[in-house]
Amino acid sequence: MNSIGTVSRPRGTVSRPRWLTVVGILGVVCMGFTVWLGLWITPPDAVQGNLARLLYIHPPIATVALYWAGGVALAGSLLYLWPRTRSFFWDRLAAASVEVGAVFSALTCTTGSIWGRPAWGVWWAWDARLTSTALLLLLELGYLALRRVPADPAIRARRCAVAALLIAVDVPIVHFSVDWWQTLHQTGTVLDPGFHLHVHGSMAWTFLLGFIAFSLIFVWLLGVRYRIEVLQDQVGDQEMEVSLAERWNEGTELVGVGSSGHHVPEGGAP
Amino acid sequence: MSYVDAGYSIALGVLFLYAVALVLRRRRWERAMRVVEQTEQTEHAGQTEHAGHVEEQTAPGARS
Repeated sequence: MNSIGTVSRPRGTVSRPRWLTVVGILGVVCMGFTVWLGLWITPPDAVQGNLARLLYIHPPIATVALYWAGGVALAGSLLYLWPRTRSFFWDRLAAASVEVGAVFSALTCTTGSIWGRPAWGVWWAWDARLTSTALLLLLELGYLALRRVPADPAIRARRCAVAALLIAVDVPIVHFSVDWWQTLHQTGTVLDPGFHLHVHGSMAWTFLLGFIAFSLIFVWLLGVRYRIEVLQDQVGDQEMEVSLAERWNEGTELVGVGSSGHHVPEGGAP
Repeated sequence: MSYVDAGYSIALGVLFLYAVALVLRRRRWERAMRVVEQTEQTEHAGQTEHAGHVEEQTAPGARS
């Protein structure tokens, strides 16, 4: 039975899975096609003109930031907090997801702002969707700051899991903000509440490809970031073991000196 | 530069830079891991050698 203090920590060198490389390559290829289709192939929008081309990247980025990163962080944290599934794997996965999610949240605000300036006439408005998204970014940064506070790994993992739950609370607020309040931000961009598609033809395919591309890039970034998290823990653990072994040797030598009056190295008969 | 170009450049540029930063971080930690493993192996080898040497010295008949 695992308790918080006795969670097993995986050992051994971290391998680089081949599937992750394939995902990364696919993500780059899909991204290339998205940019090509979005900038050169799709026609200008009837209302927004060329400005609509920004919507091939802004909603996919927001989707990754909100649902993929938020979902993985929530699932990882819940599975860590649940005693039966408690493992540092979930903690690391959640931490990796929050960091990658923070990058995507920042990009959501930035690309939305760049789109908003010509569309709304302002870079920023304190409406519910924008404010709750900015809050999401702040919560993610708070999580990352909390993770850097020195503590026992199990205590740190528990604190971060609770912090991730706070992030998860904001996710539905961001999602429903355009329905709950009167906002400058439009309601569903691709689908309306009745799940009717708003875009068609090449624009719809470019949209879909954009979602796939950013999702694949997210998976790749998450995989790389997760491996860094594992390596950080393993290096920390091994350095600790080396230090403990050194202390142990010093202690053994001192006991040898104390009991026989002369130095007896480890392994020697007293 | 249009808003569209700026949006694409910033989004793709930031993601590219973040990806490069992650790969560099991963390499640095892999190097650190190798160094720690080597240190551990060296210390282990040193201890084994040292223990063997002491055993030779303290073995029955070794001093006679």
